[in-house]
Amino acid sequence: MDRDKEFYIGWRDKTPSSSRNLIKMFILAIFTIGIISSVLIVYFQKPFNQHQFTFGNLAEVEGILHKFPKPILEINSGDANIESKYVLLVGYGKFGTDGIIAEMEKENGDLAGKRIKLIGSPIKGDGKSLLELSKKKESLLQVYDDTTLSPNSPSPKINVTLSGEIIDPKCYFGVMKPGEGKIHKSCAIRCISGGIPAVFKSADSMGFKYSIILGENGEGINEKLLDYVAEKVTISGFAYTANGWDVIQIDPKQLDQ
Amino acid sequence: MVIIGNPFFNNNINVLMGINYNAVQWNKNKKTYDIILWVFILFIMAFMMSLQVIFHPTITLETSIIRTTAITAFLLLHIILMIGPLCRLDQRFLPLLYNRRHLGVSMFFLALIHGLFCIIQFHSLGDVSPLVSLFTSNGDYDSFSDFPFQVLGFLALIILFIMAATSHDFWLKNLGPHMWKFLHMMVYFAYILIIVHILTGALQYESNSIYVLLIAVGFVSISSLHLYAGIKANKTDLTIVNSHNKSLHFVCTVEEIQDDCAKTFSYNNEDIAIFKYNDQLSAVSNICKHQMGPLGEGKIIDGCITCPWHGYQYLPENGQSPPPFNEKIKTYQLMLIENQIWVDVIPRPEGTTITPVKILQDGSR
Repeated sequence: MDRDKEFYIGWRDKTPSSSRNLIKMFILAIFTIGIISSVLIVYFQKPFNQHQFTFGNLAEVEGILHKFPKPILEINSGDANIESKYVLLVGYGKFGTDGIIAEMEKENGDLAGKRIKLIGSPIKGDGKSLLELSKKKESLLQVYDDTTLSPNSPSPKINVTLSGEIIDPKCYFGVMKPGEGKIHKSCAIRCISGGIPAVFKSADSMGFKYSIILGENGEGINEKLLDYVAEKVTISGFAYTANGWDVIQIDPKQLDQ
Repeated sequence: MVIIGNPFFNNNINVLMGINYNAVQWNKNKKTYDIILWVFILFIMAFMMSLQVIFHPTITLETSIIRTTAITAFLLLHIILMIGPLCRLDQRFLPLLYNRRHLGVSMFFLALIHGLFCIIQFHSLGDVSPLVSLFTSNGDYDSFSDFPFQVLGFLALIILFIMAATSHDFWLKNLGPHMWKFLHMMVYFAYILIIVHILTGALQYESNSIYVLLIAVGFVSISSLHLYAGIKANKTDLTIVNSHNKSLHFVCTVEEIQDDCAKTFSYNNEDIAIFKYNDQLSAVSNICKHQMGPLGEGKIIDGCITCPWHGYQYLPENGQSPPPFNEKIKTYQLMLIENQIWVDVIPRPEGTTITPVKILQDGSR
């Protein structure tokens, strides 16, 4: 250390010129490091998906309510040539719709198979549609008495083994970016614990496949899946399609092995 | 001793040395420091958010805020940790250290924004309270790759909060310098927690090796600087080789000390600085009462030993801060035999006056 250099004292207004020049160089270096680091960090990030969710952007939708495999609204344009859309319903925050539908039914009777009008926040991604019932039971705007449809028949069951990750579809399909992996694990656990349907994301030659996970008898098994959320797992069970969504029924004990 | 100027009636030093406590004791240097700091913070955040929009247009605002605040705070933490050793290696860096408190508090606020957004985004509006969720949602405490990394970030944030909350001289005075120093040395623990937080969190998702490389460059830079500054400080400390009796030790010759500067050495637990000024010598504790700064790296300014860190001042003959200040440090008896400086390593009580040793023309007493 060169003691002959001018000595800096903070409470004096004058900064020695030797200090001033070095500090200028230091600040320049820090800005340069900040800029280079920012470019590298942002450029090499994993890309985000195109999934959409606009908080507070409410939409009114009409359709037939199905309760299996989870509450789903079937939206039919009325044109036989256009396929129905099957909108998976989720609750506000990190909750499913079980409690909300039960409250709606207290006032309106059984809604299964009924044509209803809902208001909520649309969530869209990778060909899947969801609706957040943002206003809870107030999300039900109207119940039409014109018809009560019987449930659609599921496709035949086939035995499959899938590898992939248990996700919560609300975050994955648009609310969070990223909505999967370790970084999102705790949130996905809370969502699935709160009743949002657990979905198994796997990949095949056609792209990603999303299957709602149920127990062997078609019951909800969210609590038994929590330890395996956002981890790479392989599951075996019976797969089929019901009300526009793929379903896989599994014995959750296999995950412990 | 000749006192040049009148430091006792300098307004800046009055507020600096803790006679009156203000939230911030502004002066020109602090204002300049803060302006540059916040221009840097806002520039880096705006630049990074713009890059996010350019390279990843579908990113959400929340994710952009979470990432930008975290990266900016981590960058600032590196700067904070580098300032100490840089100043030990070259005193021209001292202006960076003078207002480091504001750098630390700003860094804490960025980390707090990151933490709050993460808690709101990932842990709120669920079936348990956000804090319970933070600790219990992911229970894989026995796994490195699956470890609940948020807990580490939360603990680091608590440490940074304690440091920011106690950064004012009011707390330094009330906690005492040793406790205060201990609390603020926890920043190194927080730094390690944050590194593991990133390794077990973001880097379990972002797999590009550039991120590990960037963290490694930061860690190696900080470690090397500390190591180099430590080795250099050890070399400049004198080793006592000769003893006259149990407590009197030879230190160095008069010529080895520059005018208005000091030589430092340690003996057992005594850290001593011997100053040469106005053809006389005085020995005092090398540790400043303010933040335990190295007084021996300071200079005699206006007749006072002036700490290089924040300009705290002491009279060399008695280790007392000039009135109206009341800080006191230990003093030591010196003896000059020909041109050899000998010191009695048994300290006198803080603030004890010891007549300075006169250096005669031929270099002896």
